[in-house]
Amino acid sequence: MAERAFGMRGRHEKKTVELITSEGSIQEILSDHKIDPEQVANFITGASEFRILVDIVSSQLDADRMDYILRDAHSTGVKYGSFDSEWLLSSLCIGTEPNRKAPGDAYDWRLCLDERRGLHSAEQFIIARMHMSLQVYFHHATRGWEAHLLCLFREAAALAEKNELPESTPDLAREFFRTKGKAGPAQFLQLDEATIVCAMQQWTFAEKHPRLRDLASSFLARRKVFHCFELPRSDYRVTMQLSSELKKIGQEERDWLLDSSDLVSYEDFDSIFRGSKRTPAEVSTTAVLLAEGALGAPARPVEADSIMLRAMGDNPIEAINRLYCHQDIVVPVKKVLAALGVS
Amino acid sequence: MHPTIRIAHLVHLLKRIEGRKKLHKIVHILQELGAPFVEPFQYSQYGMYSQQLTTEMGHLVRDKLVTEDGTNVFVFKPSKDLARLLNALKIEPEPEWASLAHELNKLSPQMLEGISTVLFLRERGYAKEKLRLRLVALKPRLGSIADECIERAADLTENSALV
Repeated sequence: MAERAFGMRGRHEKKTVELITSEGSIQEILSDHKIDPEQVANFITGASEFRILVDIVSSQLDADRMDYILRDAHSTGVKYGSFDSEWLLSSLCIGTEPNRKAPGDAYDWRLCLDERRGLHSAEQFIIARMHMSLQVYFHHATRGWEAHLLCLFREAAALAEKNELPESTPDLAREFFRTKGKAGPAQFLQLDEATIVCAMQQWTFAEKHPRLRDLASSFLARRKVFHCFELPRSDYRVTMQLSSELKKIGQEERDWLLDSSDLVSYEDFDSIFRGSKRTPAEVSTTAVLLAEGALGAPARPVEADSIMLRAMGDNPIEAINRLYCHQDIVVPVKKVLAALGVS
Repeated sequence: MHPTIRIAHLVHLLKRIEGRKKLHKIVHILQELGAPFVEPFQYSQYGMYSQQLTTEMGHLVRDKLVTEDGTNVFVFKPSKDLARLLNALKIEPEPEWASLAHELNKLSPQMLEGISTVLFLRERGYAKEKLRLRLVALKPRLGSIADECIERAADLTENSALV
């Protein structure tokens, strides 16, 4: 949420690098094991000569993705996110970067799936991710509460900038909003959900700041104050005009926000299929790769071998477009939508 | 402002951008120098890359606001509709990052890749000789222009009114 509220500058990779390279317990533990924190930071930011190690941290087959899909499916009680993670892990092999001479050296190695064993687990994994995206991550209720929280964070940050947050706001939360999520590593490590909830509880008494009070109290009471309009797939001209017209009614990301599955911080589930014209950079960055299994064999994008994934590529799922607005401005928003012919 | 409006405005101002690599590096450098582009970038095998920017350009091309032609190198150009749209939206004709964008568009993709990587490394805390060594390690094929990339990145930062 901090990334969405305060822009890309607060990306979690950057924060992780700060935590690893700044003085503290993580740096000490790494150094005790003769691991250079700087090298670990390079794997996290992707700026390492050893691409295969970057792949483990951040790629279509990275450890985080394999973990969070199963965990989120379990936590939300849905079955969509199931895939055979053990089989997928046992199918991993090392190939050579597409468009490079194979077998390449360690600099050109990439994390791939064995073409004989991994194809179907790759399909299962990609479909699990797609279903989780549609049914959980981009569900209108999930995104609605995120929109609510986003507007609350923006409101708090605007007040913090003017030093007008209620005095009862915990110092850690005050610093978090004042710096727009860029608090130092020591403070960041102490900041948790309890601190933010505590701040919100205090804000429910903020008589001088009715919007802050309203957003905090309604969030804590699970009282829905943001209305969702599902927008049809429309020409970008309409989206841009809509954005301009809405600014006359209220503040963006305070009173309303346009939410598109293309413009979010979650990794894009169909990005690997989108577009027929693909550059080597895009293939290298976004594709799930298959290889023959022997060390350094040439790698290729998985969709070349999969009828199912090719079909998905040929018929990409439309982006989800929604408009969330505070209930106070629903009437004028409806008028704008009608004037633009968006129903 | 909707983030794609700013990207559309960039294409409108530059009239012609030769290659996706060039586009990504220009936007990344502008962002690093303080222009209000919001696309998240990640370091990848081919330098700084933004999935969101790729998606936004895909929309602009699909909606015929931008044309994209070519086989190996894709050339982006604004369509007549884009000028009409920006006019209708009353977009500021010359934002403060415009002259810098024009300057960057004159550079080669390799030079832009080098400068963009230097800015990324500087953000990571690298400086002086350590920065140079890291740049050459990551981009061996840019070795012959590494010093020039570092100098240009320094000049851009010092002389940019945006920083």
